[in-house]
Amino acid sequence: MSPPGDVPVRLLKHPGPVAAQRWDSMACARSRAFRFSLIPGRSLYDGIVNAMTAAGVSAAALTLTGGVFARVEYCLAAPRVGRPQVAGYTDPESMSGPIGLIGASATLGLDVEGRLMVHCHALLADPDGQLFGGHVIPAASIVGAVPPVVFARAFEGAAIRQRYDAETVMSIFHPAQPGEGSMRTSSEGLHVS
Amino acid sequence: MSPDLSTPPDGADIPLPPDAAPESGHTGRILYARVRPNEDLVQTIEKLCLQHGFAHAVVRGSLGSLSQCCLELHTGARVDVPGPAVEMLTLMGEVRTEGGAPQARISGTVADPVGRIFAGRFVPGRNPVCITFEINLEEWLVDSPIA
Repeated sequence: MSPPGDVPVRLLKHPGPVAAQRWDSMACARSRAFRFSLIPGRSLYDGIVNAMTAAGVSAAALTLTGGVFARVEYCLAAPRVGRPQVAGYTDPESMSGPIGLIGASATLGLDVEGRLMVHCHALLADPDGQLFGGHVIPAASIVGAVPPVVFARAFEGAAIRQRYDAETVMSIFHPAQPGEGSMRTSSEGLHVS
Repeated sequence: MSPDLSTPPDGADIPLPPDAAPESGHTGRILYARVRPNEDLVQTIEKLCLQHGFAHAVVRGSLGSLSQCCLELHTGARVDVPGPAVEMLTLMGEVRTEGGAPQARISGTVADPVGRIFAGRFVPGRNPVCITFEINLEEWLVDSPIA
């Protein structure tokens, strides 16, 4: 604990050029809302993508609550020797369940290849009730017997895209730019224009 | 039977406010933003509301990382969490405009670079974004007051 102003706020110098525009944003007047449960035994990724694909959604902001994971893989962010980024993902930690989901936020969008991608940060509790959390790896985190509930707000079309960001040297979700293209059709026949 | 209203520990008899009707409203627009490094989390949420004309908003699922983090506890004490990076785990709060510019009051939980968990209210001006922050706001539209 520190008195106000004791610790200076230090900005970080990132490896790439500093963009003049400091945020990209979009506001949507008509947004569909959804509620669904993840699927016991399947990954966090599968549960979100299964439900959102059924609704024809490829861009959404999601809030997750309750439920149990059987296994969670997650990373933190810290400086990594030999890498240009000011902070990169640590090597994944694997936690065995039952793991309680206290709360999480996630974004659904399209990755640089045009495939559905989930970005999720979660607060979790281990079998002893100790809190932990971080950047959860959606495809490697498996839902347990009691599935978390998800509330989703959807954006029309391919509104959220992963894009290479020269400033941070990372590929990051952004609001889609005009003409950025639509979703790559998957083998399941998903079409989102 | 009267409801069990919590009273202060000194037992003072607090009168109920005469106009106790809650604010009535509904959700309007949904906003999604990607914030770049070194911008302050709290002030950027306020600026996004100014930019898009949101007088009031609810902060929804939002995630990202901070270079360092400053949290205010319920006691008023502050906790400075060194990074980089400090990962946002959960985030909740609201933005209100009360006769001026929008003011964001947001609280949540974070993890430091070795995984320690901290919680509190994010202090304006002291929570710079590290790599990116994805912000999701729901506009809160207040219905006309009942005459």
